[in-house]
Amino acid sequence: MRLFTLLLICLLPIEALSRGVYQQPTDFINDVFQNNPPAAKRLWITGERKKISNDILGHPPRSLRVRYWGQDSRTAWILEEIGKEKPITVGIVINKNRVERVKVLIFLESRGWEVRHDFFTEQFKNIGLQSNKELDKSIDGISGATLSVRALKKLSRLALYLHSQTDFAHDAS
Amino acid sequence: MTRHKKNSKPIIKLRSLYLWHRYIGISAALFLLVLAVTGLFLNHTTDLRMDRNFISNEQLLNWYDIEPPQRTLSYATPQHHATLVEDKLYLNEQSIPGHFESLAGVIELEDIIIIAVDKQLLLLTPNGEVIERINNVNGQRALLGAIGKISNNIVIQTDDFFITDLDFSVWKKASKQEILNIEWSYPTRLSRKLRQQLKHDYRSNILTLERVMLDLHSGRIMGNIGVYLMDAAAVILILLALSGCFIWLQQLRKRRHKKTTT
Repeated sequence: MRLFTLLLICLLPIEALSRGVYQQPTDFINDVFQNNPPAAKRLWITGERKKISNDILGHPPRSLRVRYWGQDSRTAWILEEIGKEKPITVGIVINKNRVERVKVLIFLESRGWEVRHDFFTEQFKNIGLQSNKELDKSIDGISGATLSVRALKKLSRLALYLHSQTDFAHDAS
Repeated sequence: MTRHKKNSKPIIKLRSLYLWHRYIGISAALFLLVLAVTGLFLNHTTDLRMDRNFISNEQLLNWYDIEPPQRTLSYATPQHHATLVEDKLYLNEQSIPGHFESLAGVIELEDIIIIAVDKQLLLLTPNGEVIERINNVNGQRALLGAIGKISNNIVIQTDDFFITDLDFSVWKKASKQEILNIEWSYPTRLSRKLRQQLKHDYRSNILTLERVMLDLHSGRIMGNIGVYLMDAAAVILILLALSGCFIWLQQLRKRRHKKTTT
């Protein structure tokens, strides 16, 4: 019976095993703030912010208001972006205007799940935003995961930009 | 005389071949035009955003047997309708991005429209712009069963009744007294005009221009007959190429023959 189950698991397509919820967003926030998260704040993405967010994403933002958690010079964001067809939910922590952590929380696409691995997300560590809203360091892509890589890069840029619009960005200076 | 007889045979053959080549060419022209034009478009589907352009022509939608939606569920506030048509959500006649499975109700508080859909609350402006998507409401992972309001607070029902305000940061269990005073959102009937409009909009967002172009290219737009017609066109084009080459070879041979005799 065990052998049969093992065989069945081996026959499952690898991507089917790779899709899903890796960490609940609430667990991510608890993790970032050592189980004592501050109250969530909201940032309106309207006017100039909407225009810049649109430039970064290449399409209008999914909502006019985004929720975030901030303490000292750190902010944590739960953002979503469509890879090819389905949304990729990513948790991003910004500290002193630089990326501290990027984590793929929910991945529902059938391809490109490799972006969840640390070897890829580690590249974002300590990256900042240039004045033209591009990342100040290049990110190596993953063949076969171009759209997911692009989505993560966009979300990192967006999180850095949105962080710069909060009071916590000024705490860093 | 004998020399003349020998030369006349290939000329007759060549003439008849010319005629056949011409008829084949004329009969293939229409198919070739369709193939070339649709092929050109298909080479640039992304640039032309053909996968994002939808067909709304009723005749074409009927030709493709795209049926009107079966499932329509609507809830209303005094001024707005939230309607789920199959997997598409509408605020009045405006489509909300995304695919949805269930609709549990709609309420309006301080010019914000709150729709309970699947496992989330959608906060919208009266124009249908998404203000925020509140997922994982109060840590609940179950589908939202109902939404209502009590004074200026929002109430949702999952496995229990929970109350929050427009800040959505603190949720508390509703007391029995509070439960009795909840103003629930109930399903409502759509006006005939709006129902027809939503049904038409739903149908008009299924068939892409890319799909029609592909079907024109392969002939599938006319069903199996179209495919066989395109097969016949392909055979004709092959014959055209072969007869063209044959004529060219014949002429080449003739020219060489002339050169050697002179």
